[in-house]
Amino acid sequence: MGSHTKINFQRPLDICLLWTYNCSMKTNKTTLTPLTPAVFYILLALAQAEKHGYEIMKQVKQDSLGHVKMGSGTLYGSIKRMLADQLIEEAGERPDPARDDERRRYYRLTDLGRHAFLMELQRYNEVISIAHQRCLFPSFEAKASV
Amino acid sequence: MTQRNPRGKQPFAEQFYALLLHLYPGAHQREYGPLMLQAFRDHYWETREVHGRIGITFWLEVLADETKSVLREQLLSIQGGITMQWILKQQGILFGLLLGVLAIGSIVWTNVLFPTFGSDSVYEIIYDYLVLFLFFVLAGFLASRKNKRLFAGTWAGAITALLGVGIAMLTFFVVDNVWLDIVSHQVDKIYGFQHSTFHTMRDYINARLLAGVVIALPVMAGVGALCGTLGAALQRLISLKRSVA
Repeated sequence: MGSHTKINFQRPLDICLLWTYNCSMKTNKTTLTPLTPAVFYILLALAQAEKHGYEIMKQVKQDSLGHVKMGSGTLYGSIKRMLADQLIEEAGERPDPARDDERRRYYRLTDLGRHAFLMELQRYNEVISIAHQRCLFPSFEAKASV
Repeated sequence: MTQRNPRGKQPFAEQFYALLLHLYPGAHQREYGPLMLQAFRDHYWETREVHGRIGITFWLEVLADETKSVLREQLLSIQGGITMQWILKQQGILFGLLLGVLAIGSIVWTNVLFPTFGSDSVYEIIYDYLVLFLFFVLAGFLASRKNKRLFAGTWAGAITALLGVGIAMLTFFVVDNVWLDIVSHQVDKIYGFQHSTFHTMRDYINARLLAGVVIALPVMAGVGALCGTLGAALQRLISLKRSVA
């Protein structure tokens, strides 16, 4: 995947779990505004592979270093709205081989969802670049890892 | 494969969570209830495997999350279902309150501060009603500005009438009872009381007000709806002419 910069923040960017996201989608036209942490981390979790609900919950907790904890209520509330806005779609039901034979509903990113996610990453990237240029947060430790 | 429950019985925790799910709106519960229960079950058993037991922190987090989510989903189900109607009704509520305030001022002015004891002339009555109907028309006209729907005007007119007339009736009730000594000198009240079967002026006035609420309020609501519809129709006509021009 190439080199990437891993940045340790002293505080997370945003720990406010807003219950909805300011993302208005119209058919074939997107007006994207900053995504809420819940939506962003769900998109991040699904960016690699299809996942079912509890897998998404665990991945979000892991990716956010425990700062974003979502229960079933927040998770499926967000999923419902993301489905309505076509950021994600259902990917069928099947058992999780790592758990048991109970059928689980899987989700995956849509093209629109992937686009929204990449736009958000781009936005973060730009903000971080500006912060570095202005030396606004000297306590950042920027590590370059291969 | 994780051994969830060797006995196959649903643990109390799951039963309790399944009960919490009933707090969600029906549609959300039907669609996502089983999935939420499944996710909770996974979370519960994994926490138990990792930590050996379920602590108070687990339940605090679950309850906090569910409280937030239930309130959010309930609010969204209300707003999502009647968003347009809510907007329409707000126009009527504002106008109704404005009419009510004007009614309070007018009633107190003419019955308490500067009382007129003679009967209103026919022209005065017609004038008062015309102003009232124009108010309903205006409410309907403004309510349908955004969506150009006749129904918006109908609703706004009806609610304006209900609220405005309701506040006026309430004001009459208070004024007539508190300042009975002033009000009882009005010619129409004296005439009406003398030709009634009531023993006291207070009883007569209150009975008249009650009849007014029962009869006048629904009638005025209907009139308000009609006038509001007319206002909305005018709005559409003006919009049409503007678009043609």
